[in-house]
Amino acid sequence: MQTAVANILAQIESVVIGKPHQVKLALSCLLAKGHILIEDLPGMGKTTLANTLALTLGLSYQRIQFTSDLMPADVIGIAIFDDVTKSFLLHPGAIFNQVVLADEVNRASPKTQSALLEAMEEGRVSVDGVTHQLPEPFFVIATQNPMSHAGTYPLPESQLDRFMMRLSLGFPNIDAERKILQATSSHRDTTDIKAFLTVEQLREIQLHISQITVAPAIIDYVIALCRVSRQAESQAKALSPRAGKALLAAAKSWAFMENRDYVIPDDIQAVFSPVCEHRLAPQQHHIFDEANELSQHILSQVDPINPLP
Amino acid sequence: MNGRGMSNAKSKNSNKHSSKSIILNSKLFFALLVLQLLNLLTLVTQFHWLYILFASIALATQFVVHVKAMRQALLNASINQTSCYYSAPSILPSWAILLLAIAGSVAIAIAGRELGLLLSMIHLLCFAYSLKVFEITKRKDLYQVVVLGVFVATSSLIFVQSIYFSLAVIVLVFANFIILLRFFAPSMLLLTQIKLLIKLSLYAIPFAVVLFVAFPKLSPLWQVPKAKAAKVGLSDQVKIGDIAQLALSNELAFRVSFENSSPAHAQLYWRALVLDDFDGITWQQAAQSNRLRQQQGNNLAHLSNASNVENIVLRGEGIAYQVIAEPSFQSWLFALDFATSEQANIGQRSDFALFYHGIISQTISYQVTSYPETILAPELTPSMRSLNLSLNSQSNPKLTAKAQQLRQRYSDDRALINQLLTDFNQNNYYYTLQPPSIQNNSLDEFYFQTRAGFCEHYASAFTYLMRAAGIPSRMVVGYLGGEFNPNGNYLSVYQRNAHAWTEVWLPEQGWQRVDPTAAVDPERVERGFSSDLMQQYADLSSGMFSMQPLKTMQWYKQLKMQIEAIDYQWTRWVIGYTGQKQSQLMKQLLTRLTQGKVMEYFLLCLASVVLLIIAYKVSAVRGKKHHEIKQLYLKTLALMSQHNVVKEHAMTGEKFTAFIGENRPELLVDFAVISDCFQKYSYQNSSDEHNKSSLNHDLSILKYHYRRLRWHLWLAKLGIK
Repeated sequence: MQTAVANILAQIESVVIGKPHQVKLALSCLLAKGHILIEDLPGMGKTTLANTLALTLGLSYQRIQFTSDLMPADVIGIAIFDDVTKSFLLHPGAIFNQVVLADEVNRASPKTQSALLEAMEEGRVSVDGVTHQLPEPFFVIATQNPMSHAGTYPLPESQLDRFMMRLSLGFPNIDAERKILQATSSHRDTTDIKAFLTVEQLREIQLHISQITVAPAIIDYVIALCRVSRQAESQAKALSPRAGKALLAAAKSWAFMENRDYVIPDDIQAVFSPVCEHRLAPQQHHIFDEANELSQHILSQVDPINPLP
Repeated sequence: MNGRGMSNAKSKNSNKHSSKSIILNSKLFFALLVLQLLNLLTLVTQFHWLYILFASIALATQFVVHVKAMRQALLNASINQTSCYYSAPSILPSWAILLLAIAGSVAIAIAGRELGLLLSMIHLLCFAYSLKVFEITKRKDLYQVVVLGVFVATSSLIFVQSIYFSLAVIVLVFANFIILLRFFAPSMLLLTQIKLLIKLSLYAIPFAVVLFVAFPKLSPLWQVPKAKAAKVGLSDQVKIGDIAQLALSNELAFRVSFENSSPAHAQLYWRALVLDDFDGITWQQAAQSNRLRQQQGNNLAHLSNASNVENIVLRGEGIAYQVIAEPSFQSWLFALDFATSEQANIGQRSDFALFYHGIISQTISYQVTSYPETILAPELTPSMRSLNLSLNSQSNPKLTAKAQQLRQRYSDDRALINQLLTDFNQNNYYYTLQPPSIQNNSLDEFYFQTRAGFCEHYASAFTYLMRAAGIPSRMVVGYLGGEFNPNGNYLSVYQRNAHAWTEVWLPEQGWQRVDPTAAVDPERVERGFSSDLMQQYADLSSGMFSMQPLKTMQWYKQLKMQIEAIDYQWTRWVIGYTGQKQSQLMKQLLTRLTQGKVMEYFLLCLASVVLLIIAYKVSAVRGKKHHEIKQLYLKTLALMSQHNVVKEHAMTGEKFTAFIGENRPELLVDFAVISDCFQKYSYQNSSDEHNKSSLNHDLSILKYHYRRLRWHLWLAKLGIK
C-alpha cells in the first residue's frame, strides 16, 4: 500500500517539478476524500497537477473550463427526448466523472458554481426531478486565479468551506525552473502517465486511513486550535466543527503518507495551513506570504504538548 | 574623560529605562485620573485644606499633561482612532518627586499634632497616592497606584458606615479593579470584564465572610476625631425652645428592636439625661451631681452593682431589647426606666440614666433590660432632696405665688399634682411647635399669658411649680415613642421625637414620671404627633423642593420602609459586629464544639471533606492515564528551559527532539527516550493496552534518563564536556 503511494508521488513529482510538498498535500487530500481548490497565477502548473493526479489514480477524468456563459446544464447534463424509447434520457455532463477539474471556477456565474458545489456536497445530482448518483470516488479539483478579478464571481465563504484544502503552488526554485525550461516539449505527453491504482485499491487505502489512531491528546490539540480562532480578539473567522473534522481527516491521511498508523501533532501542523487558511480568511490571498498567514499565527499560540492546560 | 564616560553610561541607563516603561491606552490613563479624583473625594471632608490644594494641583497638572500627550500620540497614529497608546510622560524628575515626598511627609508630621494620629496617617496615604501617579513607568507602578486607590477608598469607611456609602465605596473599588482588567485584557469587552470581575468577587465572598466573622478585631489605634463633628441631638443644657428646633429634624437618633413584644407607645419614655439645676433660664446637670456622677463613673456601676443599688426596688418582669445608637458625640445612652445593661463599657448614674465610657462617635449597639415597674429611690438623701428643691424663686415670682397658693389649698402631694394637670387640660393651653416668643424665657409669661408651647415649656413650668410647692422634682430629657417599621420589626426614634418631662419624688413611691404634655395634648403621648401637629410640621418643613406629593404615595412609603429596614439590619449585624461580640461568638462556638457530640460532628465533617478531596484527586489522575508521563515530560521541558534549551511555544515534541539533536547532541540520547515514551503514550495508543506495571516500569526508566539529563545539563553549564 505504501509502495503504491510512493510510486504515485514519484510519478506526479516527475511531472510537476519542484513541488513535492504541494503534491503530497494534494494527494493526501484526495486520499482523505476531500476536494481541492488550487489557487495560483496562470501558468504555474495548476492544471498539470490536477491532470496528473487524476490519471495516476486511474480514475475517469474530465475538465470543464468555467466561463461566464457556462450554464448549469453544461456541468450536470441535460435530459433529451429519445425517439426510440419515447422517453427523456439524461445526457450526462462533465460532472459524471470520478475526477472533475473545474478550471477557473470563479469565472462562472454563481448559479453554475453552486450547481457544481452542490454536487460536491451531496455526491449526486438531480435533473428534471430524477436523482442520479455520481460515480464513486468523486473528487473535484477546482482552480482559480487570484489576480485579475474583473468579471469573476468569488466563491462565498459557505462554498469555500466545501473544499478540504486550498493549495497554491508558487514559483519554482532555480533548479526546478531550469528543469522545466529544459524539458523537450511544452506539454508532457499525458499518455506516459501510468495508473498505479485501481478503484478497489483506492477504496482500501481510504478505509485504512479512516482507521488511523487519533489519541485524545490530538483531539485536544484540534479543539485548542479551533478555540484560539474563536477568541474575541482574533481577526480570523472562527473555525467551525466541520473545519476541525476536515483537519483531523487530512492529518490522518498525512500520517498515512508518513508511514504511521497514528496521528502526531506534526501531522496537524503540516496540514493546518492548507486546510484552515481559506476558512480563517476567505477573502485574503496570502499566496506568496506564508509568514503572515493567520493560520501560522494561530498555530503559534497553542502548545501541542499541553494544548488545553 | 572619566566624567563623560559616566554620563554616557547614565544616559544609556536612562534610555534603557525609558524603553522599558510601559505603554498604555490613553483611556486607561484618564480612567486612572478620574478614579483618583473619586477615591480622594470619598475622604474630602476629612482633609486639611492644604492637602486639598496640593491634590487638586497635582490632578490638574496630570490631566493637562495627559491631554497634551494624547494629542501628540493621536497625531502620530492613524486617523480614525479615538484612543491611542503612549507611555506616561515624565512630568517631574525622580529627585523632585523624592524632595516633594520628604517635604510633604515632614509637613504632615508637623501638622500631625493638630490632626491626630489617624488623620495624619490618612493624609500620608493620600499624599503618597497623589505623588505616585507622577511616576507610572513600569507595570509595578500601575499595580501600586491601583492598590493605593483601593486603600484610600476603603479608608473612608472609618468615618462613614452607612449602607449607601458602603455600597458606593464597593462600586468604586470595583472600578479600581476594572483598571487592572483593562490593562491585562485590553481587547475584552467592558461587559465581559465586569462579568469576570463579579465572578471573581463572588469567589472572594466566602473568604471575606470567614475573615469578617473569625479574624480577630483589633481595637483601633486611633481615636476618630470629634472636634469637627457637630454635636447632634440633645444637649446637656436645655433652654425653652431648644427641643422645638430638634422637632424639625428628621435625623435618626437611635433604633430599637425588642426581643418580645414592644410596650405601648405611651410607655416609651427613653431617658437620656436628667437636669436638676435651674437658674431661672436654663436647665442643666447640677455641678454637685456631676461630681457624684464622676465618682460613680470611676466606680463603674455595672448591672451587678446597679441591681444592688440600695435606692432601687426591682419589681416586675424585664423587657429586653437592643439599641443601636447613631453617633451623637455625647456619652449618654437611651433606655426605658429602669434600665440595666451587662456590657462592660456601659455605666449607670445615680439618676438612673445609662452612659457610655467614651464618646459615641460611631454607631454603637448595646443590649439593655428594663424593669418598668421598679420603684426608683424610695429614700431620698438630704443632699439630693435639697438639690431637687433648690429654686431661684425671684426669677418667676408669679409662678412661685401660684405654687404657694396651691400648697395651701392641697396638703396632699398627689392632689396638688392632679390639680395642676387638670389646669393644663382645662384652661386654654396649646401644644404647638411654633410658640410665640417669650421675653427672657420667663416661665411666668408662658404660664399666664401666651399659654402655647412645646413639651419643654410645660415640663419646665411644671417642675418649677413643683419645687416652689416643696415637692422634689427634676426635668428629664429624652425621646418619646418612635416609629415602628413592620418590615424590619424595629422601632426608629428620630430627633423629632425628642421630649422633656418631669420626675417628681413622692415618699414611698420614689421618683414618679409626670408628663404635663400629656395633659395638654394627650395625642402627642399616645400616638406621637397628632394630625394637627403633623400639618404644622409639614408646613414648617416644606421648602421650595417639597417632596410632599411624593411622600403621600403609598409605594414611596413602602419603599422607604423597606430600605430603612435593610439599613437597620446592616447596622445591626455588620457594623454592630464588634470585637466584643466576636469574642463572645467564638467562645460560644468553642464551648459548643468541646461539648461531646458537636466535636464528633465537626471531626466527621472535616474527615469527609478530606476524603472528598482525595477522591477528587484520585479520579483526576485516573481520568488522565498517562498523566504521570506527561508530567515528567513537562518537568523535563521546564528543566531544559532553565538551562536555556527552550522549546518554542508551538513546537511539537518531534521537532524539539530534532532541534536538540542539532544543537545539543550530547543531550539527545536521554531526551529522545523521554520524548519518544511521551509520544508513544499520548498519541499512539488511545485504548488502555498498557497495564499499570508496564507504565511503572517505563516511568522508572524515564526517571533514570531524567536524572542523567539533569547531570548532563549541569556538566554543560559548568563547561565540562
